[in-house]
Amino acid sequence: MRDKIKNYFLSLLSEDMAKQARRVELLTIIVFFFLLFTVWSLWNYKIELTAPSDGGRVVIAKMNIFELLLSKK
Amino acid sequence: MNSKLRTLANYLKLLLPYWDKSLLSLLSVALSVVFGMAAPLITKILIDYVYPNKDLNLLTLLVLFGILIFIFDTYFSDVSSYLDTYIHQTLSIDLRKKFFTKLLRIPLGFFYEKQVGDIMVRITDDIDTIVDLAAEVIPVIIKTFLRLVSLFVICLLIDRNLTLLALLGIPLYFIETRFFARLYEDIQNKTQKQESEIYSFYQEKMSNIKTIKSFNQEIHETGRLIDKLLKMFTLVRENLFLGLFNSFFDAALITLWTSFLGWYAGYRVITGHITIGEIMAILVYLGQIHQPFMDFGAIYKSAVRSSVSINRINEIMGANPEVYQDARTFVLYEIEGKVRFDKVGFHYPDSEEYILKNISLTATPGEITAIRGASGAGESTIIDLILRFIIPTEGEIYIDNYNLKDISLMTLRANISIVSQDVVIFSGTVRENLQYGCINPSEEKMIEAAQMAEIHDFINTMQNGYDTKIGEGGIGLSGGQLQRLSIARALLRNVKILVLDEATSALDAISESKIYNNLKKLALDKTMILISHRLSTLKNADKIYVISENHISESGSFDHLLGEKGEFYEFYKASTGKKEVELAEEIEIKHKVTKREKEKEKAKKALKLSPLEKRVLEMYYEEGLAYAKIAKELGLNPYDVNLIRKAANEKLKRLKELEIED
Repeated sequence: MRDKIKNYFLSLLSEDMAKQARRVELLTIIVFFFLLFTVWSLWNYKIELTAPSDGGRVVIAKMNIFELLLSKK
Repeated sequence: MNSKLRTLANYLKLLLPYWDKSLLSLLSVALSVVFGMAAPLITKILIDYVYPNKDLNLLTLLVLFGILIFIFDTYFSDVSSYLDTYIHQTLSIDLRKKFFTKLLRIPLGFFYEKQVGDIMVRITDDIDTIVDLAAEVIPVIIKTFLRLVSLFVICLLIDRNLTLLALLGIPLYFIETRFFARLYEDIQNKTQKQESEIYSFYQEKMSNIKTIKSFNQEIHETGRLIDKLLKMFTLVRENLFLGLFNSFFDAALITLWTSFLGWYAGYRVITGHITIGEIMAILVYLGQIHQPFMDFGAIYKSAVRSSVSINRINEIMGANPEVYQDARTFVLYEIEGKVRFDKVGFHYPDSEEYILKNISLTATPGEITAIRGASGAGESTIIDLILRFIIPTEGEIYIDNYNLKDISLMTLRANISIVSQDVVIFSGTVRENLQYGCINPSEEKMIEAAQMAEIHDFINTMQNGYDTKIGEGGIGLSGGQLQRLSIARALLRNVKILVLDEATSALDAISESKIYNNLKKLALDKTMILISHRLSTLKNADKIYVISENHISESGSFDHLLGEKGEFYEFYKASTGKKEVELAEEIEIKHKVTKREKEKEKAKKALKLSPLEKRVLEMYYEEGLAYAKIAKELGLNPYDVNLIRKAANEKLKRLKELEIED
């Protein structure tokens, strides 16, 4: 395992830096789109805020995580 | 300041080739900043809602959300670091390449005024500073700006009053930073100058270590270094104190400011304007505000340091380069190599004192022209002028019939080879050194050049022959060997004009004589210019120009100059140590010998056989023909043929006698 990690690290170092940078750019763009998708999913996912009451937990509000984080209430 | 900003903008242009990477890096930085804002908001929700309402589902969701944020934050932050490093390194190479290319094209006069160490500091430290500013500081500024804006936007959303109060502290911080930055600029200037001085000192001492040792000056030189280091230490201490004061005032200002804000935030909670979760979040954010401001301070100092470096680099980047070739210059392709100085004068721009004045001389192809003068008489300046390292203050120099000013510099120098008195050997093999500046050198020509310079046999005795490493990191060579190597290098270029500046000063008389005998054969189709103080060297010249008090005092052949009984005669007398009477006898003999040689030369010419005589002898002796047959074939009468044969025989006999005399 240790050798595998070492070899992987060495192969990263021996790569042409310009090519490697280009690959990092492409990967980042893919991750960026994945992030956008995650944000879009979270935006559409409504969290139910509940509070304990005599009849069990009741829903007091529905909002996405971003609204929740910036909520003043 | 505007010019500084313009300069900075010029350097930022360097980032243009990396616009895609820079943009991606900035996007990553922006995302990383936004992700960094999330943690206090999550804490706020936990305190104000999750814990009081015991909402386990939301707790799980927030933890998972926190992990997701952490993963994205780490990724984008690392990508930004990676791309910044890539830009930094490649930009550093680009800028150094640009700077070095420019440096090599600046006229030599520029370097007379600068210390080598100073230029070294510019290549290393100053360029680093600029690259740091261009490649790293810009992302930091944007990151800091984004962080501040995000902090204030979130704080405004949580509590407007508290945030607006917090904004009031910013101008105070900027006034304080600017005050210290001005003081810092002055110290920075002095520090960079002192660094250059220390570099120059090391460089000079290391190059002249033999002299230091031979004069027993090791302790003295160490003392001088310590003086310089102490000066540097004083500056570093000044820098340190200023930094400490600056940090103290920074910290005091920020602590007082955030304490006051903390108190006001508590007041807002107690009076019921904000919740405990909100005050927790806002206090974390206000704590984070400290860092961007500290970063801004550091950036400002870095910008000040850069502005000093930019000025120093600009001095070189802005210097006018030598014009190598343009539409107005002549390209020297095939030349005869005649060099002519027409009333040339030269003095340095910062001095009125002439190094050379009213110099008119001609170096003709096929001849060896020597220039002789007392030390510092300006002979080496003549070489600098021929190679156009410097431009004549007055008068003109011509190569063939082209004015030197109008010749493409590249082709001018491609037609001249120089062997300088300070032999420079680069670290590498013998072959690499010999082939330096030579286009498509062949093995045979290289060996031929080495043989002419009388160094081939020595190279063969080396362990790896022509592939032996010499110079720095290789084997050491004696002064004479270095000079012979340098001569071989010049000969290998096979150019029309060969300049030898004290090129054989470290050689013994026998080696020198051998080399000059070889060079004389070469000189038949070349212009050879010698600069020397040695009689043994000057004897090889066809014509000698004597420079005295910055002008040519005498010129002529070696014997002619002796006969003139002028400065050269005095020099000869001093060099040989002979008395007036002895010299008079010697000159008399020399004159007689010269006269005799001239007469012989004349006689030999007169004794040259005519084609008719040659033919008669050939037919009579080789073909064995009788007079009648020869007469018939040549349209003469037999009696005349006999007379011609006798006359030809007489000539040959006389020639033989002259040759025996020689």
